[in-house]
Amino acid sequence: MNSTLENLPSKVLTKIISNLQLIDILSLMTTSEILYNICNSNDVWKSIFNRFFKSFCSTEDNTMSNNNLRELCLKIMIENEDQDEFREFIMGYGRYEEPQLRLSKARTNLFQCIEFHDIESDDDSSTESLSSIIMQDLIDIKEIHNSVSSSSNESLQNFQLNNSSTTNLLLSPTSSSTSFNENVKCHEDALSSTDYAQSYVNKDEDENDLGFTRSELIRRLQNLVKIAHKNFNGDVKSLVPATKNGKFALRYSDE
Amino acid sequence: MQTIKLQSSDNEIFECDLAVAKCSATIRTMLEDLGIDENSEDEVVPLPNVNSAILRKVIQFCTYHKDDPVPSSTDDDENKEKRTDDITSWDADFLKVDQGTLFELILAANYLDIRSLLDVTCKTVANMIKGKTPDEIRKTFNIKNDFTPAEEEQVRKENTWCEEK
Repeated sequence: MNSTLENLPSKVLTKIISNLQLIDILSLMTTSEILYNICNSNDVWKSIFNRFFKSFCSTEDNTMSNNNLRELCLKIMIENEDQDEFREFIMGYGRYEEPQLRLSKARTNLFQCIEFHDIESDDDSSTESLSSIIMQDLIDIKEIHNSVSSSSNESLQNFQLNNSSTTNLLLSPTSSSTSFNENVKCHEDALSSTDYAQSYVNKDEDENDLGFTRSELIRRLQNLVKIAHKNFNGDVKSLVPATKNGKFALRYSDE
Repeated sequence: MQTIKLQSSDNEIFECDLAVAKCSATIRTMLEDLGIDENSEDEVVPLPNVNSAILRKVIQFCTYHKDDPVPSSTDDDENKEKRTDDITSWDADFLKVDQGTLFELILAANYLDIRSLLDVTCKTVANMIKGKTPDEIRKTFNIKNDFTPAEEEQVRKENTWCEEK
């Protein structure tokens, strides 16, 4: 028997496919009907979903029936196709630099939750959940740091969890050596929005909604900005909580 | 040193180290479950799905790798991002074979259930696919495009959501 790619057992082909990026799988699918049928199996789509789409999947999507993962992948694709990060991930730019992509995602999540979280002043649990979300993202960043640094000798291990603080929830960089070996798209829009300044509360040591003192939170958020922005040389001015609209942000200027 | 005799599909007998033969989970199972006496001089394990040329390669691979640590089953997590650029130079040289032989090796690794050989051969094939257009893949693997033009258009349409805008 003459062995070819097409007459390998489907179990073996599925294993080969599990080594491929999405764009390669789709190319393979379009080569012939035999390969299309093998690649279009639910096993393959399950693997595609878990590897490429799960992290972009909302809780609502996740509880959807798993019967048609192809449709679910398509739905997520349509919902996210305008996001550069997602497109890069799917289209395979830097397709072999997964740590950087995960880093980018963790960072985006972090800033989104800092910017958009609604703070109910009389609801302790929401503060807690925000903190834990931030915490999770910081752990992600830290892990990614480690994986990036182990491969590139970047000195990124200067981060440690600060357990001695009153909150022990935010990560405290112990040095400013935060150069990432990737281009960071700055989140000026999210962070410098001066709209929030209207409700700036000018009492320096009041506890803010996260349960930190203001100066402590500013210091920590400043550190986060430094982590997130490659070669950030700007000046972080102040934390701007806007409890009226449930948002708060850092103001900074990037000189 | 204990040895065992393996018989290929074309009736060639290979005598090899028992530890080497046991890289194959299939052979292990045969020995354990089917009660083939490991000490019997005359016992021959028939491998009707593997020809002598391939069996010789497989034994060569297993001899080189017989002392490797057994990969844990958690490594097989299909959801984990896998690297395909971590093939050792010995393995890469070993797999510098024509495509037919490569696929025969995959089939043998699958039949004999030799994880490490299956992993590295599948990675090698994946590397042959990576970064190629459908046409280039067809050319590489001599795949006949058996879609009708209408079907091809349909498949192409279905997948445009993943093509560059």
